[in-house]
Amino acid sequence: MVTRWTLAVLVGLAVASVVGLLAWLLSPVTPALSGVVFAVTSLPVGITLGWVIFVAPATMPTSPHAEDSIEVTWMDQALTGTATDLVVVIGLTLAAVSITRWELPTVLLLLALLIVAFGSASVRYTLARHRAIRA
Amino acid sequence: MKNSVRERRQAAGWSQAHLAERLEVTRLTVISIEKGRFDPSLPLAFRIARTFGCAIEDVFDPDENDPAG
Repeated sequence: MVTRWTLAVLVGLAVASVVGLLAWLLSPVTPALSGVVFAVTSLPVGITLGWVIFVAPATMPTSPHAEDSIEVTWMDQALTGTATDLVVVIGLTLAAVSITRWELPTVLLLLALLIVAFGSASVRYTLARHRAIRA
Repeated sequence: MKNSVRERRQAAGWSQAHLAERLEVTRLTVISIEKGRFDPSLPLAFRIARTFGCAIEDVFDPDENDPAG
């Protein structure tokens, strides 16, 4: 287990190094500070990735029949609905932007789409679960 | 699809959690099947029938009003 955790931390350090290096190379202002900040903030994400790859398979109990559970069906239905929601939101946003000729920042748009996707999937899954429990 | 999972489970004296554990699914899955709100996959339907020691058609009965049934 120590070996697995060591590998997880190494993955975290590798991810943090790459992200920090990219930030240092690409940042237009204070590249050194940007590199350090990006490296430090991406370290936990990198270690989590390493944990998923090396530690979780040895510690998390896995059911061979997990796909038979209703939660998988709820998630499939929620994600299908989310895809529809995203198409609708993108279409309406595109229409609004075309008509008003707004200049929206790309980062803001992508962030909004991500939030809509997470929100839609969460709400749809919660509603499906709630309906099943209440019925 | 109608089923007799609840009746068979109660006859065996099992809780929903116990049946879920035997079938290796969640308790909500068992609850939804018993209420007829979730049609199990074919492998799960076979496991349910095997758990109760009967044929799959003894546990599950296609709904006559369902055109797919």
